Amino acid sequence: MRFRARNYEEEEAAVCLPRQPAQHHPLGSTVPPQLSQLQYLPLQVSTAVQHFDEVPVDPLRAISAQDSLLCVPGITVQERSCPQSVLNGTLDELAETAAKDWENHRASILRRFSSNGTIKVSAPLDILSKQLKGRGKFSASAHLQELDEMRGGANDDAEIISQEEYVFRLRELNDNIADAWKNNERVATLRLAVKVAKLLSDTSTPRFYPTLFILATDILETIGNLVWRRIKGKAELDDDGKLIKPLPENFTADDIRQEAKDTCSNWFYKIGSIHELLPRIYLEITILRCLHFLQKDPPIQEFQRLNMMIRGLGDPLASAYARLYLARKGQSIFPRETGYLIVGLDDYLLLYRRVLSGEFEKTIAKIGIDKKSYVSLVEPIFDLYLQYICAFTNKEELLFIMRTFCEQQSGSNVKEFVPVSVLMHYLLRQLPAAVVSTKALDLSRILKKSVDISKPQYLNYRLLGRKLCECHPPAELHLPVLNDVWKEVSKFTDLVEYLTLADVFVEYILQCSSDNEMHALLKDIVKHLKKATPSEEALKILESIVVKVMGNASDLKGFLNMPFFTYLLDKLHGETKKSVQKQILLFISRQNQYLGDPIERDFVFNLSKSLYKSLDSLSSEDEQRQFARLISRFVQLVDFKEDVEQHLLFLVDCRGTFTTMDPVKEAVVHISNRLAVIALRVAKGKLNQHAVDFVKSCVTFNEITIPSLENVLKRILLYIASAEVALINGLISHSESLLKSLLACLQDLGHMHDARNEKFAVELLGCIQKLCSLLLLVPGQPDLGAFYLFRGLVDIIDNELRLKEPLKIEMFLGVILACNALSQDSLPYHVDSLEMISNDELFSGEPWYAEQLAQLTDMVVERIKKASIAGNEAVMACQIFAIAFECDVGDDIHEHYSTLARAAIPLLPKNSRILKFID
Amino acid sequence: MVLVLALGDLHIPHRAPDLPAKFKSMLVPGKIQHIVSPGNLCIKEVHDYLKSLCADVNVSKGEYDEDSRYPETKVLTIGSFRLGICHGHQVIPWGDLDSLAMLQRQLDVDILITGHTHQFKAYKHEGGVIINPGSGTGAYSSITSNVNPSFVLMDIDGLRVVVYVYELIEGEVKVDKIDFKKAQPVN
Amino acid sequence: MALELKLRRADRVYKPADVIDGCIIITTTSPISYQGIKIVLTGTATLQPSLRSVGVLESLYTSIKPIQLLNKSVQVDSTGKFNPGSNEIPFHLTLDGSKGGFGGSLPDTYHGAYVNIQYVLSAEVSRGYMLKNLSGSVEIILESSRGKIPRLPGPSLFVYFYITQDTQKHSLLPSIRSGGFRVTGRVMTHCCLTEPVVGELTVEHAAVSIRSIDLTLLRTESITLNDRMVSETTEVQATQVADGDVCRGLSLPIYLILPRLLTCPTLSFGSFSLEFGLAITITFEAEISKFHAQSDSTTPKEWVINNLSILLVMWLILLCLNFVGDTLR
Repeated sequence: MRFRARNYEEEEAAVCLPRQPAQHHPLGSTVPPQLSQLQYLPLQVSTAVQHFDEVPVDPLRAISAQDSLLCVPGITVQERSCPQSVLNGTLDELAETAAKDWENHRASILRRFSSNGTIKVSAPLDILSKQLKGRGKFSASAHLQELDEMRGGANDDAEIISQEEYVFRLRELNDNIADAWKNNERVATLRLAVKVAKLLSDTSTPRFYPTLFILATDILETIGNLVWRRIKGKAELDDDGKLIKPLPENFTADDIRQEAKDTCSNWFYKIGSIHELLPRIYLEITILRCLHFLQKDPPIQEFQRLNMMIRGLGDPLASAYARLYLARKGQSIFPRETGYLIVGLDDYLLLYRRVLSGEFEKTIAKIGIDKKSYVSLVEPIFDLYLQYICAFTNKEELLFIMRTFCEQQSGSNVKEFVPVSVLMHYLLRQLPAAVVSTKALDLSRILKKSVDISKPQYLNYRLLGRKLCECHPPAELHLPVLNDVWKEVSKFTDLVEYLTLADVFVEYILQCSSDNEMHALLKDIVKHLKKATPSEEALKILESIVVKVMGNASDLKGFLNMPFFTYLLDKLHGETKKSVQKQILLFISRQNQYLGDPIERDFVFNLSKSLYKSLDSLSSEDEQRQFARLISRFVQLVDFKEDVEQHLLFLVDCRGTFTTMDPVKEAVVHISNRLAVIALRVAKGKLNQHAVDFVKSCVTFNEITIPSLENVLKRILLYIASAEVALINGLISHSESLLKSLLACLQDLGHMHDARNEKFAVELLGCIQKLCSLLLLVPGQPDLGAFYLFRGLVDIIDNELRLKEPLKIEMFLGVILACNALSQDSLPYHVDSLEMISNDELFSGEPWYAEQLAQLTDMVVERIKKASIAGNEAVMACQIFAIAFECDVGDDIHEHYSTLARAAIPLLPKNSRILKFID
Repeated sequence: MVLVLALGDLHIPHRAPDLPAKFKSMLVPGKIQHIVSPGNLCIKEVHDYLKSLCADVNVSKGEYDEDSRYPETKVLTIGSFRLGICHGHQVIPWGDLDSLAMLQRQLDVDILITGHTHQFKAYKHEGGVIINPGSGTGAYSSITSNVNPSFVLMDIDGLRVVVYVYELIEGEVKVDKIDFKKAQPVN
Repeated sequence: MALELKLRRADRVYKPADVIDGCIIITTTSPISYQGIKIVLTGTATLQPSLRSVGVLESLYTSIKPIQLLNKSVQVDSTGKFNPGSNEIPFHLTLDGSKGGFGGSLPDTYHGAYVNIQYVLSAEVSRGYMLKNLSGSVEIILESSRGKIPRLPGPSLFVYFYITQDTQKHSLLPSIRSGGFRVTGRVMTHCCLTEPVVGELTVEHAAVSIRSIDLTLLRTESITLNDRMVSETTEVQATQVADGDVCRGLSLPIYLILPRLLTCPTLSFGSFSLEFGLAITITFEAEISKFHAQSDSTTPKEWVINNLSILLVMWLILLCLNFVGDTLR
């Protein structure tokens, strides 16, 4: 057996690629491109082209130029523009777009007002009752009788059914309508449609009304479409059903033949003769689109009239939803027309104010609903109207609209007029942030007065706050707006409402104001907190506030020094407290800056301690892991500058406190290693006694800490890391003792089950391979032999570890590679330490040294021989043998090499580099 | 023309708080197409940082990496080159040419990116190239505390690679370059 | 053997100067010969006084002779023969209204309670001596042209009204009288048939909640009978303009679409006249307790308070409905 001789330095020099200083390099032009990108873009491109063939000159600049070409800022899209098709589209397209938009509102209404329960169906309205009363019977007295039946006498034969049943009956009715239509019974269809519309006259089950509205208008919508298609069909087909010619996409009334027009007018006549106002309005709205067949102008007048007609509906609920239907229809015909919407909303407000002022108290009480819920039932009208009104409106118009709704002119005096809060709510929601911010002061003043049950005031302030965050008011208004709002908000007694606003305005202050305001706000929050015990909900908001304040701080000091901040922290308890503490640790982790300040350090340490204590056996593994990681991040970032002794003491503290957290202990070991290296660096490589003592205490600290870790692999790695540091510091005996502990640890490992875990085994292999490389550096001890650690390792691998054979072989092969290195006159590397004298210097040329090495190698080679090696292991073993040994023919190494090669070669592709190497 | 950043052995935060500011200011998002790292980034925040520079981040597992999902070795193809990444603490002895060459043969790659020694190296060996970008933070290694922070940027263009070596020496970034070509495949 | 008249216009609506065209369809199983085919268009005004106004006995012997408005015939064919199966003979006839003896123009078709104005188109096939003639008829509807004519607003066309507790002749519930009310508005009195009757109405004040406001279109038909005028007023159509307690001070639109066939231009023609009017009814809410026992034995008996309508307020307005083009006369 003969080791292959190596000359590391020469070999390296032979293959080393020559370096030469680079004049230009890709990262060099980082700063200029940003400037030049803007100013000299065309020039840049041309240079890029010029340079293209002369790589390597400045590849990055070229790239950045190309990139910027790709992302030439586009024409800024107009903020409130909408797809062209909406504006210029045909009626069918408009209807489709509007339908899609309606779909959202429809879903939200259904979701919001879903209710269940029973409904009283009064006889005249029973949708399954007989045919409508014949026409021509409209005597005033008959009508009165009918009215009585509807409202009063209905009790006599009212039927109580469930809402499901009601919906079911509606579906049936829908089917009846479909049948009637299919059978060409237009009059019957119309009658049924009137019935459906009439259902909406009944507002006695208010909670169900929104749902009813949706269901009924769905049916009406279907009828409207049927009529539209029928008339369109009449216009395109002759009486015998033959196609005359298809209507152009943008057809007008001029394209319609008289017969179709007559049919269309007939529908309007029939509907116009319906006695009751509500069904008449609904049905006219339903077929309003068909006016397109009769007149060229958009039916603005008709909308205005219907708008006025709805004034005749005295029921607040019925009126609101009729207006909703009108607006919905209007959207599909002329989405940009807002006049009738503004008038309609204004009209409705008159009625709505009567509700708020208590005029309808008796009615509301009778139908068994509280006023607040009742009032909220009509919210969709504000939602929808303001959305539609604001959608296509420019800034001047918006300001006009604001004035319309927020002030009212009476005679020559502009009377201060307080808009209802629900209106303000949806107006604020729809107004673009830019408009809100310029009018912030006015709005704040209005909100102050706009207090009623239709919408909690704080929600409006919250909206205002959010819009102001979205678009900041002009600088000179930053403070006045805040003052104005807060003067009001600080009067709030409900802690949740108050904190909700504080939460929003904290953001505003962070964006627009200075620390002074923040301090004032926090002070105010504390004042409020002192008055009441916060509920869970309030704590949640408080948490959000704390997180926001923290998120904006540039460093920990930034918010720790904020007065009252710690008071706020103290106010929190339970989960919220934990959550905030977690946030603080996250903040520190994200900041990734050293914590040098003792106050901060203590604060965070105590906080970590309290988090640690909050964990118990019930805490999820996930939480434990998360906390451990956060705490270890904190520990990593603590900095004592030069005061390494104090730092080490801190680590001792941590170890003692977070006893069950592996990551923290892992961190302290790493830090203690770092401290040892720093000490060395501070001493400029030459340790004085004091420094030596310190380094020793670091190593000792690690020796104590490492065994307490639960994860064995981590233990092994930390032993290796600590041994390395001990070596760098010239502490041979310490490193030896660490390595001995490591071997003991490996020995223990043998008894543990996870040794068979595949992933674990692979990592373990990595550790052992690393250990082999490290052991080269540890000088032998004459009394124990130069390679006693290696021998121990081999013994443990062979006898103690419960690993699969191939893994063990790989480990042994590693030892062989190490042996080869040890056989060289000069080792491939040395510890960079003056105190350290390594094996090559100590024993190179000593016969006993060579002999012991040969013994070790023999032992390992024999062990390898015993194993039957196949597959990848054979390929590897083959190469390693070739690297480690000289192949002397006849030698038993050669023999074994041949065996391995025979096993390996068939596995290799024909022109594999490995194959060439083995040959 | 593709820029590949090779950066490893950061040991953040165990041995260094962060990348040197001078390096950080050079590494801006959008310039680099691939990042290959032999590992020992250590914490996930560092990985996130690399992700912010470039979407394609490839890391092999160093022994101290928190993320246990990194593979021991990884092979990827960039242009006409096959790149292999392996940390190198498993290589015996550390940084040994023969052992690295064996690894390179095993992965069958044109360029092997490896680390662990915290010393920049670039070898052309048996037709392949082996690059060790050193430690990006200048963290102390297994054998020395005297390490200059360094990393490597490879500009791959066709069969040609220009390797830029960025090294921070006494507070100044020194940039060297190495130019090499891939041998035209036989047959 | 059957005769059917088929008009080209399915809706059978014609204007005074229109040409009526269509065909006579004769379905037969055996060949038939004929000696002439004639189309006759007649227009008549029939007056039938109401039983209430003239009394039963009187109505029995008082038959007023229908007034002939139009009688026009056209010979379509002279002699010929129908083959078995369906035979179609086209015809056309000008509806020349100027020849009518009705002030130069024909009145529109109108079906009222006591007055009927009807136009009938009939076909007659004479088959010769001793053989029964074939005949058939169909009503056509005469309607003055329905193009849109701009409505010229002018104060003279509107009537302004106000209704208060003091304008009522009948007794009012004390609560309504004491609280008082005032509803004002205006409505157009001259109106083209094809146009809606428009106006507006405002509840300015009402102490008691309003339940409903209704407009009733009334028709007054008058017949001169035995030298005296007998008038009858009937309700044509009711239209609600307010449903519930509407806001005070907001004007509500009045928009009445006139029902076709049930209305016609206001006319006065010697022996009869047609006039239209509008009534406004305001219904108030008033609370009156009403005992009501549920018959269902499983539920306990309960008291229910109901709202009842208790008051009618009426205001009559005379409407003058006009021929198209006559709006400003």
